Amino acid sequence: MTPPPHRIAIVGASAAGLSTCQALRDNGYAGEIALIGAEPEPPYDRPPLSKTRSDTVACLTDVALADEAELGRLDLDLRLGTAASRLDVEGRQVILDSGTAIAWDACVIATGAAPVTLPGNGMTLRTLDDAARIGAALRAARHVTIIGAGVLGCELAALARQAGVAVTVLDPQAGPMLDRVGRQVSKRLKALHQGHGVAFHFGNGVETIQGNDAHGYTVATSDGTRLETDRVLVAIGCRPTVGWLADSGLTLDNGVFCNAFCEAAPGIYAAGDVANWHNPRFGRQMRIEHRMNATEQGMAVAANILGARRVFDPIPFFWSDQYDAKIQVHGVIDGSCDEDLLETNSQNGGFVIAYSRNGTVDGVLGWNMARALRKARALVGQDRSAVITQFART
Amino acid sequence: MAKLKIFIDQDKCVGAGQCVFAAPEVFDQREDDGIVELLAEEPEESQHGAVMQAVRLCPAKAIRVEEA
Ligand SMILES: Cc1cc2nc3c(=O)[nH]c(=O)nc-3n(C[C@H](O)[C@H](O)[C@H](O)COP(=O)(O)OP(=O)(O)OC[C@H]3O[C@@H](n4cnc5c(N)ncnc54)[C@H](O)[C@@H]3O)c2cc1C
Ligand code: SF4
Repeated sequence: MTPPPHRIAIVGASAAGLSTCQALRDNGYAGEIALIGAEPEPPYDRPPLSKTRSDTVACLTDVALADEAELGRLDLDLRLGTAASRLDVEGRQVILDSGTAIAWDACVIATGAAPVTLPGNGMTLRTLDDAARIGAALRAARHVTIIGAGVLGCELAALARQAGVAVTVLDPQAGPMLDRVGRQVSKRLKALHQGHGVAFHFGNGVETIQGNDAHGYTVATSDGTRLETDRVLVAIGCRPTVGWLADSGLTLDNGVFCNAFCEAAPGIYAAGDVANWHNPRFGRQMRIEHRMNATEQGMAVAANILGARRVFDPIPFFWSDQYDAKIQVHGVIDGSCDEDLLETNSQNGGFVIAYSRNGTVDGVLGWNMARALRKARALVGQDRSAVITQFART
Repeated sequence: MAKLKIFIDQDKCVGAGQCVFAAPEVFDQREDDGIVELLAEEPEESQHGAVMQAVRLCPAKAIRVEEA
């Protein structure tokens, strides 16, 4: 048996890193915690940065994840505005870009993910700074082009429309969020956005983005279309932030490769967007870029550092708000699942759909059906045909 | 143990329902939009653990407690 840790280093001071700290203290851990974050701000929340509810750009006080009292309670060696540049697995230390070495006997990798960029001046959204820049762009522009019709691209389109800016969205796929929510919901989303005046251009990739803020931009797509626009926003997905681990010897494969205990190597754990762990409930490796997972995985990692030795087998959850539509998903779904409409609400047009793979329900999606969906979560893991029969009767 | 008083921020709430999973006797969701509702503002002591779990899990940080 290894002795319990008394020096814990957590790299990445956002949702997953903070959740780990909180759960360590909640579980009675009284040793040292170093929390290292590349951003200058104390931990803050990202989902509000793209939600239509905030018609003004979010500021730190709106989105802080812990106030001063809470940070005080956590009693951290908090190192903000400093990136870790290397993890020394053998020597049990993490090296900061300042050259400082921090020794640990347990280490948590919570460096999240960063947006994929394109050549040209397209803006991405991940940080508070990005949000401020995009807020300014929306005030200055009459027309924006959004590249990528995924969750973030769709939320940005809604945000821009709410700000009164004309929007064109480009995506090589055939519909918004198609690979995330499947055909039925993608169709509904397309109609929702078009109803709010969004122009879509599907089926073609972007070839070049040229121009500047002063004179505007030209976006060229693979079918020869040339689109004139004031600003370009790029939302084509994220990649896990693992560059600093390149020479660590850890397995890096779609993030930090971990077992069911979220352990990458003895004493080294990963949580949040950066972790690719084995979820025994679904029997496969997964990396989840959802807010809820960052909290839950941080809690699981804290418990395992303190010796709980519990597998992490959540039913992942995510939500997206676009205009007045609240979309929520429990489970793991994509465009290749079989879709079964379970319930509808004739009053508000809401519905619940079950998504199945190989005859098993892998997830449920609700559109303005928060309460019904909460109950439908219990269907995840059940036999598809049994679920269909059950709902046909009611 | 001290009494707990719960504060919810319905503007922040995203209707995730995680609080109801954690403490069904204390939290509920409005039927129409799924926004959080309190069933008990000052829950019994037996509920305190579940309430703290809800505070931690809420992905919108919409629940706050104070020792009353
Ligand atoms: C605009 C936006 C909207 C979103 N909306 C939703 C939503 O509606 N629903 C939902 O479920 N999810 C949403 N998400 C996703 C959610 O925010 C993420 O899943 C969550 O932030 C992941 O937390 P994390 O702590 O794992 O990683 P991150 O939040 O990415 O944090 C990682 C931190 O580590 C730091 N870091 C990186 N490298 C280093 C290093 N070498 N040294 C030190 N620090 C480092 C980074 O600077 C960053 O602060 C949204 C994300 C964005 C950007
Ligand atoms: S967990 Fe938070 S966001 Fe979800 S319903 Fe409860 S209060 Fe609202």
